[in-house]
Amino acid sequence: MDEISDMITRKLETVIRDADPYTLGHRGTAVTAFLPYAVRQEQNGRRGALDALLRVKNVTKPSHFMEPWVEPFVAALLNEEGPISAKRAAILASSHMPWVHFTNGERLVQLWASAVLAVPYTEKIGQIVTDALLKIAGSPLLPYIPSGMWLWLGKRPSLPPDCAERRWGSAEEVVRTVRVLGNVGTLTLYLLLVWSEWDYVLGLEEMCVSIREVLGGIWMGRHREDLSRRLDHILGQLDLGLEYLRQSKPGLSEDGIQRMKAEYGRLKEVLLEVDRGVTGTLIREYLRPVILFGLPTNSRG
Amino acid sequence: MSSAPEDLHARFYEDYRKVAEDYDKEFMKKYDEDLNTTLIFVRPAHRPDTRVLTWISQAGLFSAVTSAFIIQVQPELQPDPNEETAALLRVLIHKTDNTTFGGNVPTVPQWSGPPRSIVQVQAMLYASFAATLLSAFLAMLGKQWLNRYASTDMRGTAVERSQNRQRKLNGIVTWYFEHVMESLPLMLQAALLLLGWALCQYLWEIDLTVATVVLCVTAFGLAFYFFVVAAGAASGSCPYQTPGSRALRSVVSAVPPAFKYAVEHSAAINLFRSDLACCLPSTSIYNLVCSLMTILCGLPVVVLALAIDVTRLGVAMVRLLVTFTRRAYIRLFGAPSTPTHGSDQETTPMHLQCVSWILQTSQDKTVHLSTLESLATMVELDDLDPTLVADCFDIFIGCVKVVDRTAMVTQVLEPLATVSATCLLLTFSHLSVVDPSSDILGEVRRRYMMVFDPWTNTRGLPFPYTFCAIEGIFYPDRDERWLDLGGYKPSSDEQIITAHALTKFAWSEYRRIEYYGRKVPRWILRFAFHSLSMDPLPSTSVVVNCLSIIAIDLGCDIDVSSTRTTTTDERCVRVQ
Repeated sequence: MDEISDMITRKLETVIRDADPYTLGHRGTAVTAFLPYAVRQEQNGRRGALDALLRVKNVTKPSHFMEPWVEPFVAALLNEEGPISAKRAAILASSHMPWVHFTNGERLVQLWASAVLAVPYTEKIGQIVTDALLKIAGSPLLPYIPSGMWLWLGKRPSLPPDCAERRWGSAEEVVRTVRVLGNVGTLTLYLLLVWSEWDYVLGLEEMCVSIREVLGGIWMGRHREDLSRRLDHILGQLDLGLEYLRQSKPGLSEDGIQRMKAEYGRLKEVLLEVDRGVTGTLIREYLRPVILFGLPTNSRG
Repeated sequence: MSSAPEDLHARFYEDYRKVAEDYDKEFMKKYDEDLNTTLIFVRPAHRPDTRVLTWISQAGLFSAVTSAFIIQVQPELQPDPNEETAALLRVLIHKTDNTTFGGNVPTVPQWSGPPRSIVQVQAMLYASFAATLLSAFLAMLGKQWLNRYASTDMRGTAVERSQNRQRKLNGIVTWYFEHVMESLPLMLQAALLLLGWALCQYLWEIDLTVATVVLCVTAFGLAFYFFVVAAGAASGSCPYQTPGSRALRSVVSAVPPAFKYAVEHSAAINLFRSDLACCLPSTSIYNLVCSLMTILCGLPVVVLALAIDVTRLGVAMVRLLVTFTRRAYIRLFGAPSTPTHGSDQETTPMHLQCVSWILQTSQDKTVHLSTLESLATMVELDDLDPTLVADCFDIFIGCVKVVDRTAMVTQVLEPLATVSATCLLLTFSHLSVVDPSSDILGEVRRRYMMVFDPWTNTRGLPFPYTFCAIEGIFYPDRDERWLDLGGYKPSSDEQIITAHALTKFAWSEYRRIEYYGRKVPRWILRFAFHSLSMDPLPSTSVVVNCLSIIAIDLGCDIDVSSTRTTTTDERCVRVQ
């Protein structure tokens, strides 16, 4: 049994190493079929199979790599009364799930969110959960994501350069959903996550509105500073040129870079504009009375 | 399959023994009577006064008749001593008194050999006689062969004795015993024809009237015989069945396709067809004349085309001969087969042959049940007779009826339906591996689709798990079935057999397409997922087989032509 499982794992690793997208692109069903056994291996402490299976997606990036009939299996793994090891294994595979094709996706998203909060955080888990979160957010299941999941971004997870979900997670509806949560910190973390030199954003206008409306407060300077620093970094990276960026993301084009420069430049402008507005307000509302009338005294008090 | 495989095999061989006894009794009776008839036709007749034929003490009725004519004609092959004596006397008298014969001077005639017609008549009579004796000889040998077949081997277990008997029966089929036995009447018929012909020719020289009568009777007999053969060939229900009618039927059935092919591919016919197509639609006489001129001028081309046809015919005949020789070779010495694994290399094929024979011979459902139960426990299916797939399918279909697009099993046949479905799955998947181009696979597929259309409701069948796999083979697009077992829990045996069969089928499907399109059908991968998702995991062999299915799709080297172990609960494919 282990012999043949190892053979499959070796085969997957070989194909991943050779970056054979043809083979992997047509073997999604086989990889899906291997998932239960790989998960079981993971639960038993043998991580090679699931690792190899998860790395497959990094090579191929098909939008729905796994078959939708994994739903009952995933639901069983994410069951609230199930062991943590099962939940962890399901979370590790969650970024591969065809969430949009699940017949009972709402319930599954709830189970998944509960499992994420129950499983100890690691960098790997953080990366996969963020990936899955953005994937779910970019689908019709967005309204069913519990607000706690957005707050979970406070753990400051990162995303790999090549992450398709980043773009879909930056759609207008997602930005609006995060904005209406009313948590500035979460919005900032969200924007820091989806802004990247590797991809352009979909909800640009909504982001501009969010920056103006939510981050326009006087006491939001720290958040604006974080965002501004992030935008500076991105624009700096984009200035390094196509050849440099292609080393990390071979699919990039010159047009794409120009588009990203324009978008992130616009966001930077909005941020500066908000900053200027805040400075003006500060001067108008606080500093001018102080200059004209002096500091208020406590004599009356 | 709750019983142990040994018990099932024992029950099967008990049934086999009973069926074999009945069959052999009928078999012996049939050929014994045939041989007796042949021997009666050539029954002993004593003609010790015959100089030439005294050594033939066992010649029969027919040979006696033939020998009578031979004796009658035999002297005409030699010079007539009476005539020679008379001539010598005439010479003596002439020497004594030369006026006795007037001017005629008698001479001693020089014998220049028998007349040509007498030689022909005698040759035919001897040929007829030899054919009669040969058939008598073969009939005697046939009796001996039958006695040897009927002799029971008293040593060994019941299984060994049954397999020995099956081996002897296989030999009878392989060595065309039936054809040899049926050639005896043909030889006698040929001898009779030769006798009639010789008689007619002989009497023609003596007296035309008598010869005409004999000729008419012989011609009538011949015409009647041909009518009987033709009638027997034309209708299977005709009582006048002879070996000749069976042969004629097989030839006639082969001729129309061959004729059609010849017409379609004949160069000469095509040439004429094209020319006639040019001239027939034309109404103008000038055009018609021109076309005919074209045909006439093209005669050398037509001759060439005919030569091409003749060459093609020759090539076709050679091919036919090669094919026949090859088939005969394979029949006698067997096709090259894959090496077998396990300890019972000899008994497994024999067991399979016993199974195959009994399914084709017996109509008893109880016997079918015990046979298929025994077959279902077999792990190795090497040397599987392809007709076994069709037999399993026939039994399965015989247990199931489809009413208003709903499939249901006939009452009291549930066990037979279940085990026949299992065997169908096993044998079909195995044959897909060993001979994917087998006509039987296509035939079974076609018949399945005629019985079960894609909209047939099969949920009521008592073996949904096995049937899901069968349905997947024939309708691979309906892969949602693995979610809809209606709460049915398959037994461990069912899981093991299904997983093993589907692994083989997956392998054959993967190999069926050329390199770049290779793919295990999606529904089989879904089956693997379904099995691997079970909690707790199914048995080791199921897991190994499911992983093998995945490995096959990923392009790993998996050998499914043989199983790794020979025990029933450990059917796994071989990992290279």
